[in-house]
Amino acid sequence: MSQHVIFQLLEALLETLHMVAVSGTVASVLGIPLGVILVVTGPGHILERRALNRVLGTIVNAVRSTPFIILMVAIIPFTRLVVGTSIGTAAAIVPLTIAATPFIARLVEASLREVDHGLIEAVQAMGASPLQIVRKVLLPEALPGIVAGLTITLVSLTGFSAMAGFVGGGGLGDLGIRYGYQRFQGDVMAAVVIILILLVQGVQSAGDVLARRLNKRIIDREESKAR
Amino acid sequence: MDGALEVIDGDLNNPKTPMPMIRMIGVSKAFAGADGPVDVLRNLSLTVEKGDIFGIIGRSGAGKSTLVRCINMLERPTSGWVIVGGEDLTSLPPADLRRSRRRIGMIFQHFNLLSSRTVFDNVALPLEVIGGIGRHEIRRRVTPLLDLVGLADKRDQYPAQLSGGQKQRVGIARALASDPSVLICDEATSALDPETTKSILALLADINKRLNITIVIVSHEMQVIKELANNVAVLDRGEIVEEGTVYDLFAGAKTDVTCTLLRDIASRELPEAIRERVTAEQEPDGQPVLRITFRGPAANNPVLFELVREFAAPLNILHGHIDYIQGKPLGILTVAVGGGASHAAAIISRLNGYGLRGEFLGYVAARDLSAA
Ligand SMILES: Nc1ncnc2c1ncn2[C@@H]1O[C@H](COP(=O)(O)OP(=O)(O)O)[C@@H](O)[C@H]1O
Ligand SMILES: [Mg+2]
Repeated sequence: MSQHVIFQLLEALLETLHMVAVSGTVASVLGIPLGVILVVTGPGHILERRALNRVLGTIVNAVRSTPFIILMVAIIPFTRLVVGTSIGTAAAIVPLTIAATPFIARLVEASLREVDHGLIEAVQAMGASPLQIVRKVLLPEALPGIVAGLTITLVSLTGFSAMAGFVGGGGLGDLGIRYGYQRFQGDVMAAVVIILILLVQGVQSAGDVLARRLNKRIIDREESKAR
Repeated sequence: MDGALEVIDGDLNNPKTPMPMIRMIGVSKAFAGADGPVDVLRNLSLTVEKGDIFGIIGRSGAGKSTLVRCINMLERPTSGWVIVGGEDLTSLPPADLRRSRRRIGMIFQHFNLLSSRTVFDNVALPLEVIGGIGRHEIRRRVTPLLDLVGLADKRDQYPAQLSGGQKQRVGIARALASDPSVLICDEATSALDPETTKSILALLADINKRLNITIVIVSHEMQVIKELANNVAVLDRGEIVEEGTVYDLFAGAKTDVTCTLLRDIASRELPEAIRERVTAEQEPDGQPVLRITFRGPAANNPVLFELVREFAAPLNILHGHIDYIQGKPLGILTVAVGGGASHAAAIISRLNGYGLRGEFLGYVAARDLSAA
């Protein structure tokens, strides 16, 4: 492999990391609150708002059921509005964020629903406000699940970012297709795949470790031996 | 409606009767069911005095949890008033209700501790909810509570590392953190073994005495009520069917519901050798087993002698002991009655005539008696 190709691989890796990191962060900032709202406005919950809940649920489902490649094209005007261009890494970040937000929202929603209703009642009995219930009970208790959900999201984003080449976003996937598929350079394609595997493994392992460390419901054997 | 409110005013204005801690007036609660609303509480009224330990007992599904959850408005009554410390909680706007809830601590059957927080942080939670309390002040208030419940050495552990009894102790410390005047215990010992139950009940009694907190304790187990409460209400199908001191209830239960709840205790106190022999079905040589409760002046009469003379019934004493309820003695005698079941029924009604309580426990075979 020439130095040129190695340089290109590195550049593509950085582009991928850039796309995944930015879209993952922005989608978390939007998706976590959205997931919270989906839960607390649900039937029988602390801020029941049936109409709002149904509207948000429908929007989330609509975005989630749109194939990414179609979403990317369909929102080009919006992308241009946000980042000023419809081509390049920044332009790829917008559809990635929009696709990941409802994904995160649903995963967060599922984690929050796992929180025992008894805990909510216990703090309600202390006189907690809905905001306090979210901050002191729902989010901390669901944190291991939320971290696991965000890990899944990052892995999925890595996959989706391969399609960013479609709007000139670059990244590993794009490089793999250009060299491996269009120019028949199998070694480049193999290198891309290996880097992607390592990347996904790394993200997944880090997420698993973090989620396990945050989970105080199951105490590790070593820890309990220590006490 | 006006009538009920007059009663409240009357109490407030009458310096002789101190204001009760909790007052529920005409409380009803209906839940939406598949075929229309289901009445879970029916026009129920009760009064809990300051500093009392008030028991609520009833079968599973009687509405006990719903009742106590109406005290802190976790469940909003469909109609009626709930007055705690002189304040009508049913009419409070949400923010005021949240403030008033701090005066009512609650502990739960399944503890409901936050798994993500240490023991210390669980106990500190109500203070965080109140807000505006600094770290030092929180430590100053939480530490003595951990000492009180005997968990000072577990302060940095997580609930998953604790036993059931320890978890409930954390629950108690947490409920006391906001310095409440009422503590509600909903089946607080039902998930615990008998030994742990005893220690938790002792802790609650201690808290009641030391901090003068009014305790409302809900249980389906008579043993719990007997050990802890002074006064008791028997709940059945959303209505209070019997109410009074625990002593009176044990000495002279009036309703079938109460008798059924008491029977559980009655058979438990029999020595195992005898308990094993008591059957629900009568065998050919079976003799009815009666449990007679003696109290008050009637205990001084030669009751057994008169029974033997009147019914010409050989009474075989299986077991006898003196039970202390709230420090007052209650004589309990378990006898087998020769001469058949009809005899037993007549004896029970005669005992009631004396003002004593007679209860039918089952049958015991005559040959087993001689073996025992
Ligand atoms: N939130 C609810 N919705 C509908 N029915 C309920 C609800 N809570 C309690 N119930 C019903 O009310 C009855 C009494 O329940 P509960 O107060 O929990 O009884 P207990 O505590 O005495 O066992 C039960 O039949 C139960 O199914
Ligand atoms: Mg209950």
